[in-house]
Amino acid sequence: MTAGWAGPPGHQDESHRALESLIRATHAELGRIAYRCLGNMADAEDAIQNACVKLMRSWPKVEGLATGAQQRAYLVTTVTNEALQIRRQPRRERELLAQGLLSAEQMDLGWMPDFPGGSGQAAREQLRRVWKAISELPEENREVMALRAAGYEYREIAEMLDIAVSTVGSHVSSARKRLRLIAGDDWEEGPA
Amino acid sequence: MSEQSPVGFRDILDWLHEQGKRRAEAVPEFDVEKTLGLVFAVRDADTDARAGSAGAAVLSGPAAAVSAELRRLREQAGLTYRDLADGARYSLSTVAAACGGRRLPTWAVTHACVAACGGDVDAMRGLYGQALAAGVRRGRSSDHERPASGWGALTPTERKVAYLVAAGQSNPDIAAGLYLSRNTVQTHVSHILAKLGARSRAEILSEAARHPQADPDNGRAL
Repeated sequence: MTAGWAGPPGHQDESHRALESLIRATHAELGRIAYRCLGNMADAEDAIQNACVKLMRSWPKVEGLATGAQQRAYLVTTVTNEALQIRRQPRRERELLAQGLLSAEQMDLGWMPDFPGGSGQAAREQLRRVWKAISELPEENREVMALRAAGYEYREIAEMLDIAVSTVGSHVSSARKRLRLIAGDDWEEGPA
Repeated sequence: MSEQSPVGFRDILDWLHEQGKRRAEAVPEFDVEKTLGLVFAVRDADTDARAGSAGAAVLSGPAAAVSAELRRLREQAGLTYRDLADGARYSLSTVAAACGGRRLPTWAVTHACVAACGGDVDAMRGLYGQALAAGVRRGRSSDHERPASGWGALTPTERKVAYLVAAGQSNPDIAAGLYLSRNTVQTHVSHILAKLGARSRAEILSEAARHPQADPDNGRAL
């Protein structure tokens, strides 16, 4: 009983025990991904929880996947997308800014002291635009690009998503091409 | 101020990559039990919603009562789940009167809140802190055994907040320093006051002074 979830007794069927073990096995990794994307614990925790709730709701489908690696890839993809979703939400930020609790600089850049564009309004806006653009990439290269932005190497991404390293490379380059189109003049550094 | 963006996408992408790598060295630990508790609470709420039983199929005893009470209060106040997710508050004194003093295991508080929100996770997050603040106390959980009161009852985060309060910081300062919302800080402070049996921030200070801080690195993000 100590190993299991401390919930109401007699409420765990066989299939959900498998769900529980998958979450236990991947939880730390999901935490790393979410934290590397989001940079703070509260948001990362929300991303993990949302991803696991999604997993539970689509469990009949995911359970049918052939291998454990595919199930894990599903979760990695989901948590990455949840992190992107949270990145887009202006809600938390708006609330804090409106209450005057945080200055605009602290909000996005408090944990990014060495942002190359400095700490002005324009730099912050630009950073937000980059994340927004990533979240609007086509599904097949969105997660790859987000994981790349979270500091993962091709080899690691390939392993996490259960795809070939060369596939990761081609996703990254097509994603960058697309981001370049979206960015237009903003791709290269602006005039000093 | 130039209207031009000061830095290009390409440089930002490269910088994000480096930043992510650096963050990997200091990833905090996330509580898997908390995640599982939420996941299964949502599953049960979904089951109930399908059965049209408003929490009755799974919850029993005080958890069911708390859930029903929270649900009733929400409807009475005319709040939608969206409102809760956006931070709309029940009247805390009303919730306290309805639920105060009950002692539930952690999972049951989660279940009660999720059921009261019909499985809407964002709304549940808005409600959970309120339920705790209103006196729906979490009971002993096998994983985190702590005394019920006194300094030893504080969670690591509460302790961190307590030291900041003792250092004379205001809630907004603490929120900014720890990257928390002010509501979260308020919740922590109210738990600290309750656990220490303190009635003022000054009393937190005197209690903190009796328990010197081992780790002075208290300005870090949680």
